[in-house]
Order: sequence, then C-alpha cells, then structure tokens
Amino acid sequence: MKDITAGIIHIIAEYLGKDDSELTAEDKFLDIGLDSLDIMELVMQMQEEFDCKIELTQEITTIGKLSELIASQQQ
Amino acid sequence: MLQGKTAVITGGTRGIGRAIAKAYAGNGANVALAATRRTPEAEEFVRELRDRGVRAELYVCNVSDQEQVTGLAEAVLQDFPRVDILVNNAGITRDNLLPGLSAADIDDVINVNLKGTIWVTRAFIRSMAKQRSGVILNVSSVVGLMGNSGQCNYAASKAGVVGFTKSVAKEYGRRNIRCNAIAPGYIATDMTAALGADKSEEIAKALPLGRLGQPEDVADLALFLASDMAGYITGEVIAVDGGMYI
Repeated sequence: MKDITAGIIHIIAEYLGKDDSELTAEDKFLDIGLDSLDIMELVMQMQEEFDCKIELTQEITTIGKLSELIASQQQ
Repeated sequence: MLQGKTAVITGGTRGIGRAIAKAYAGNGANVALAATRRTPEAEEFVRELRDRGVRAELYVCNVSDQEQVTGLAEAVLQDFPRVDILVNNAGITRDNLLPGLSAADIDDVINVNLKGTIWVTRAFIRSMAKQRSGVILNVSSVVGLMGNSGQCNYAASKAGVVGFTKSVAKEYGRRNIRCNAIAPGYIATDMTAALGADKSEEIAKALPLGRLGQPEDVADLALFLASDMAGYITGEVIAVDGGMYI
C-alpha cells in the first residue's frame, strides 16, 4: 500500500512539476489543481505503471482513496 | 498561415483530403497523410508536397481498425515532434435505399466515417492535451444535417460526426483544443463522380450558386479553421455547399 501511494504521489508530482514531498495521501485531486481530464490522463499512466485496470468512481477524490482502489484491483 | 505546424490528414491523398493537404503544405505546414493504400499516385503526391519545402509522409492505415490507428499515431508522433492539426477526412459511401442496405453496407460506412473519426481522434488527443493546444477538423457532410434518400447509412454516420465534434469541443476546450466540423455539399470528387455527369449537372442546376463545389472550396475553409484566425471558434459545423442546405 505504502509503495502504491508513493508511486501515485510520484506520478502526480511529476505531472504537476512538484516535488513528491509536497503531496500527501490526504490531498484531494481538485485541491492540487487536477481536473477530470488530468485524472483520466494520470489514471492511464498508472494503469501501465501498476499493471492493473483502474475503474474510477466519483468517490475516488484523494490520492489515498486511489491507492486503496489500485491495491484492491491488483489482488 | 500554418508555418511550422504539423497536420495529420486521413484520406489525405485523394479528393477533399488531397486539396486540404495541398492547402496546408502551401501555407507552410508539414503533413502526415494516412491512406488505405500506398499507390504510385499517392507517392507522387507526397513528393509534390515535399517540393513545396515542407515535410510530407505517407502512412498506410485503415481508420476503422483500432490497431492500425494506434500504429499510425505512434509512427506519426515518432516521425514528427508534435501534431498540431488533425483532419478526420477519410470517408466512404455504400448507397442504397434502406431495405437494400446490407449489414456490411451499414457497418462499413459507420466503421470508417464515424468510428474511424473517433479512433483517430482518441489516438491523437492525448498528445494534444499534453501540449495544451490542438485543432481537430472533422469532415461531416451536409447530408448529415439534412438527410438524403438513398444514404441512410452515410447520413447517420455524418450526423454522428457532428455530435462527436461538439462533445470533443466541450470536453477539450479547456485544453485549448478546438474541434469543428465541415459539412461539404456536392463536391466534385471520385466519390460523387460515381453518380454520373447527367445527375451531377442536374444537382448543380438546383443549387443557389449553380455549380458543384470543388475540393479547393472545402480546403479554403479547412485552412481558415486550422489557423489562428479561427482561434475562438469551436464546436461549430460549417457547411460548404453552395447553398444546398439553407
């Protein structure tokens, strides 16, 4: 889980041109400047990175929740 | 008008696509042309475009085949640093009255004209979204707006292109990607030549402007829409039809 969260943070930080340390699992996508198109783009990258199918829902609004979803999809 | 930009044009070696390629290359754009076959005529056309001092490449791709479309996008984005303009022009007809349309007539037309437009757009939209700019032009048809006896499949596919165009315009406007459709009327190309000279003349006489359109008439609009002069136009469907549909 920790690895997944760190991986997600790294991908998002790179996309936003930030340092990994500037993001946390509690961050909401909207608050860090990601809109639905950004999230779709990032999810496509993450699917390749984590080798899983990510089916996003409206409830997935934070890095932590996305991490949980990916962990469950990978099992 | 398009100096240094790169345009991908499907169905880019014949008819309207060919005229658009000429207009773009003549205005400084590099062009990547997709066609279903690599014919000597197509190769010659690419050489002609290169003589205008731009880069021109030909790619073989059936736009109704998702895998081929993915391959096209990969190849183009490898050969060119970026794609600024995408013209979804590839199209076919399989005309008949509704009861006479076979399943293949319907599938082929929807697969190339509508789904092909969707696949190719999807293949290039990520790179445009990343670069925060792009222009997409979809070649619909006036038939998609007004309907036409004997072209139920074609009209449905072209009306579908209109809905797709407007949706892409809404979805990607905030990424500075403009998406518009052109609705040609009766344009003198191989596609319309199939109707015969008598029929063509009859149609021309009935048009307010009294003549058939030329591929260059459509290319002029495609040039304008791809240029910065159309920078505030998106989600529009513009007819080039000599007044056929008023």
